[in-house]
Amino acid sequence: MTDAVVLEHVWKLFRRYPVRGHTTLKDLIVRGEWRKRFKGQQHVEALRDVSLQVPQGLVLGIIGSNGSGKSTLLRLVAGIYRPSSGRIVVAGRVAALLHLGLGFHPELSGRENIIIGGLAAGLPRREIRRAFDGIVEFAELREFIDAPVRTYSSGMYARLAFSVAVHVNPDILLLDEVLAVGDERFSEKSKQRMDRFKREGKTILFVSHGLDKVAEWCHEAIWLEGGRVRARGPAEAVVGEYRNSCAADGGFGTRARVRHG
Amino acid sequence: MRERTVLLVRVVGAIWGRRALTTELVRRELKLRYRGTVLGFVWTMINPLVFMVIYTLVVTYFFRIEIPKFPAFVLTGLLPWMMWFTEAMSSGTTCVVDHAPFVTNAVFPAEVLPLVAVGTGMMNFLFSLPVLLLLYVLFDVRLSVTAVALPLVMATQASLLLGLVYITATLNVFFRDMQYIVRHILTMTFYLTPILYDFARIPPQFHWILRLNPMTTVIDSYRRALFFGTWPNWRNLGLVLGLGAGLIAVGMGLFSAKKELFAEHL
Repeated sequence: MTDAVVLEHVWKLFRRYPVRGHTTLKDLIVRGEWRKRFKGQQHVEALRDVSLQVPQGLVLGIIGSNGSGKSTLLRLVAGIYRPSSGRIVVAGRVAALLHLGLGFHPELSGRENIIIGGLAAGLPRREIRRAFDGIVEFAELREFIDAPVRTYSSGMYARLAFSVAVHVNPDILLLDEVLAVGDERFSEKSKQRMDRFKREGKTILFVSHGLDKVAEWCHEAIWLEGGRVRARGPAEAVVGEYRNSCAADGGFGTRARVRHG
Repeated sequence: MRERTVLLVRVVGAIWGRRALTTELVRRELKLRYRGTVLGFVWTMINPLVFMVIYTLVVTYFFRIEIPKFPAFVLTGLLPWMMWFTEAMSSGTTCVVDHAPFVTNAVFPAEVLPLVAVGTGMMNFLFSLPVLLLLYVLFDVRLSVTAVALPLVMATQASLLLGLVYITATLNVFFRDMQYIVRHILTMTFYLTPILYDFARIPPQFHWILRLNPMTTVIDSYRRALFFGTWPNWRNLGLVLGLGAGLIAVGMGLFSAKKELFAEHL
């Protein structure tokens, strides 16, 4: 079987900026930040030497504590970030459901966002036209589709995002904790859709803190810790290992166990 | 060098592959601008027309400089400058920042954004041409065969703009000062471009100063081809086109080299 996603010795460093989010010209000239910018910068290592092969059709859960590099990994695969070093090969059309607030332009209507999103994903116009009604239907947004997205509730937003992602017929789906949004009925509906994807043999990378869900639904899982892959294997085994480690750490782990136990 | 070429080919390929997206975004930009207004496009047209009236007053009546059919003369230079050049430069410089929700999305090809800004400006300019022709009729300016040079002059302006916008848009992600710097440079360049005056009437010893500004040749070419009915200076126009192509190569290279850092800075 061919690999849908391959990571070879991938590192991702983020610069830690000394002042604010971005440097102004004033900082550069007046405060002499120029040299600091290029020399002796501090870095945060979000991913350290991660190598990973994901064969086509595999549903891979990604677990780990906050800040372990899960979201960074997805964003790298999605092509939003570039690896600081190493290589990433992605074979196929990617649809990404990263965290809320990404992907839609708030000033545009749901309709315009669907069309632009589809074109950006590389779908031909007629295919978008064909999928359009399905997307709106699935998202249950018929009467709001011409309203600007900024007027949407977070539930509506999530429904639209999910609906678009599953309708662009992706080969590879990247999911970051999105199944948790929407009401009971919609989350049931989206779960069914995900199951169908799984049956159809799509490759899915699934980041979640819902350990039971990962253990039950994913074929395999990786456990990230401090930007490194600490374990990989059958989902249930990796989740078990992770739970044990959290329990041993006490505090957070205990709570986590109670919550998911 | 070879790596550079490969990179360029890849960027151009990516843009070509998304031309449907580019046209859709241009259409949306134009629509968005006039949404909720009754007069729509008229609002955009009013600006150069007001300037045309003021400059006619100042130059012809206050300064008493005699340029025949001055309103038609000045509008021929004002339209490509105001409707297209400044418009595309300012919206192009902020294009990546303005489209942050798309750029931080997974699959959005950010390299189409500068093209969208330049394309939107070009459409704006094209829409304004009928007004110019109307003015030509009023002032009895006859288009001659030299008007066929228009597409080439426009192509030259487009290449110059594209190259500049790829550079300023990239820089503006990292230094937001860029948008203010661009704005001020545009204001200054307006007077260093033969829009209010005729390039041919400038004392020759100053020509080189104006020639440092590539828009001088572009505006002068519009005016020759449309207003005066003479051919543009092909050598100069060719030089500017070459400059534009060079800037595009540099700009696209810079843009795509920095593209994947954008998401971290938005």
